[in-house]
Amino acid sequence: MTTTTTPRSTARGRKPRGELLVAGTVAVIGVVVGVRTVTMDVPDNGAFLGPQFFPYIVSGLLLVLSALLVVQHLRGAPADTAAVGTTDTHKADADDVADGAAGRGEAASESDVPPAIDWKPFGLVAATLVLHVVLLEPLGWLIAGAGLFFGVSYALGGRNVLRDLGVAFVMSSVAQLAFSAGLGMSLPAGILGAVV
Amino acid sequence: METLSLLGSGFAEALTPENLLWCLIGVVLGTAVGVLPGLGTAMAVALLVPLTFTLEPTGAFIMFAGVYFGGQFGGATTAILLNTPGQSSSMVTAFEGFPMAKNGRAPQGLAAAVIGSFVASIIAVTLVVFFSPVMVDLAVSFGPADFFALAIFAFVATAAIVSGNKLRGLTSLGLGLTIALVGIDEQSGAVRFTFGSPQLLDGISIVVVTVGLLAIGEVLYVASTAHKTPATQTVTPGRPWMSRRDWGRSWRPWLRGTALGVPFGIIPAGGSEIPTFLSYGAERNLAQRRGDSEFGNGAIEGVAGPEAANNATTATSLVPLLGLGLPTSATAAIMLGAFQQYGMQPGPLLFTEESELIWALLASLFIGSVILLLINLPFAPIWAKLLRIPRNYLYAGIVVFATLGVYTAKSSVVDVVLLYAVGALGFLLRRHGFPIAPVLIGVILGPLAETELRRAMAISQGDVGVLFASPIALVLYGLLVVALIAGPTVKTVRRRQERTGVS
Repeated sequence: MTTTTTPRSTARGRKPRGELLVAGTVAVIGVVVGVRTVTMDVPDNGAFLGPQFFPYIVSGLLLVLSALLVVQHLRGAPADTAAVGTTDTHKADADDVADGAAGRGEAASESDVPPAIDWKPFGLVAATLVLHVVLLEPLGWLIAGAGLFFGVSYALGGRNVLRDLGVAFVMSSVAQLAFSAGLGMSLPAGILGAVV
Repeated sequence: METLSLLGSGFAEALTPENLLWCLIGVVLGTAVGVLPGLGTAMAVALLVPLTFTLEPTGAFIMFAGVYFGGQFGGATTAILLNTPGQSSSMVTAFEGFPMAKNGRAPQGLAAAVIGSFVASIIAVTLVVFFSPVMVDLAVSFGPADFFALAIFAFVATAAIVSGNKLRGLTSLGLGLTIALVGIDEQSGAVRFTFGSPQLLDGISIVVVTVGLLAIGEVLYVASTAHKTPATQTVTPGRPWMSRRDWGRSWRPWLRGTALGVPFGIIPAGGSEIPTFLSYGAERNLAQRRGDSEFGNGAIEGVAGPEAANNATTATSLVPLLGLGLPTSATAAIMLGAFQQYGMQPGPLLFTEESELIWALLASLFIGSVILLLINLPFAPIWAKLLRIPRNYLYAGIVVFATLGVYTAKSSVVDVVLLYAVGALGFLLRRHGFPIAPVLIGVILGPLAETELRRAMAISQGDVGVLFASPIALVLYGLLVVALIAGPTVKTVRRRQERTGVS
């Protein structure tokens, strides 16, 4: 699983750009929070420390943190200053709750320089999710849910199209039955609702 | 004595055939989700939250208890059999558990883990039963400044001490605090950060955040690295039974692990990762001193100790959750969210207002661990077969259930959009090594911190000194300073253990 493990020396040369991407995202969110707070409609009920107080703190915190992330990146920390022995610790922190299927070896290289994104499956999953959100109500759960299952399965390498489609429809039908009939929750019926 | 009779009535409430069934279903579903790669206890509880809304509260919380224990054990099973821990708290279990499995001792490893969990849970839950009322007595005297200090303690502890890199941990925390800002401000009625969407007035649900960060984030992450399919090496275990020698080697680690795990659940310092490492290190040193160390080649002590520590920590994290309304782990955070969905606010009042429910919940924790022992000791190997499901179906199934669970909670497509957006954020964080737990703690405790801070400042009319005027708050800030100094030491010890222990 450690196919892309870069030797230490080159890893040190290649700084993890991801930190900058996160820093940028955090900065944008910080600015948005700040702007929306300034322009917020505040009900005039004389509450001490109004609804804007805490958002200002959060906005400031985000901006400071994003600046510090950039500084940390420019100074080459932490992946680089973290000497050889610390990569394991690093992994433990990085994954935390969401510790994945990752073997330990893979993760050690991952915290230095993340592996290149495999755009095709990633894009297919992302597109599937977007399509699902758009089509859920017009098409109804039975079709949109099956599409969701099939799309993710196809993206992750399922190529037995007929079987996968069958599994997808079985999944969405079982879910529909369990939630509607079993638990009494409503799922969007969509175009099939008109027919059935 | 009063505690015992209350617990007795709790058992009477919980031990109905219907509730036992919910508990059983919870254990089965919890184990099933816990076994899946990347999805731990927190995910198991989060995914099942929408299901429990159709139940009455007692049944729902009994089911949670089952899910809780099942999820814990699921992570350990895959750590031992496949070297793929379901969550960071079972990472240490894999160090010695997987070598055991490779040596054909998987059954003994699983047994040491499941019996260790059982022993630790029973001891820890007993402590919870007797400690929660004490905590409640203490909590009644808590003022706004004290609650604010607690929230700050939890923030810094999870973001800066438990996650290794302070800056990354705090960044995750900041994002969590931001998510928590969305919605109507309860004190002034001001509408904040809804961007004109009426669906956002209620804020973003903790279930959406958890499922998005963990499940959708994980699937996106797996898709982004799809070209590197991990070769899962399946080991076939037999029936888990332990020889007299295994018992002799395991019972002390179980008790030591429990003792190490218990205090970490009570202090809000997030997660059972540290006690598992401490237990692992202690067992390894003791084995070396005895001169018969099998560490590195599958030592049963290395499974027994950390698993006990892990379960003891998760069980005692219920003390601050029930007594103070303060979640110390992601799982506890989601349970808090579930309480709130039922219109209950965990904290001192809960014990008087919802006394029946609380004691039924505590009783069902005992029942849950017994059921876990009964169904998982013989059937652990079957769970590992879940991993034989083709990977594309597995993750497609995860996405479908995550979407369905979130949609049905409110029948709102906006929630599904949020789910996927949060999933994208989770992917970004996971890919670049930012911890997830502080995001969740920020979402959960952000509103508490804000409310209590504003309340405290309103009482003092803007005098910041009020925040440091109470002894409880001062003790908390003092502990935080100590932890900030001691934290790096623990890291160093842990790092040294890892480096020498398993490389």
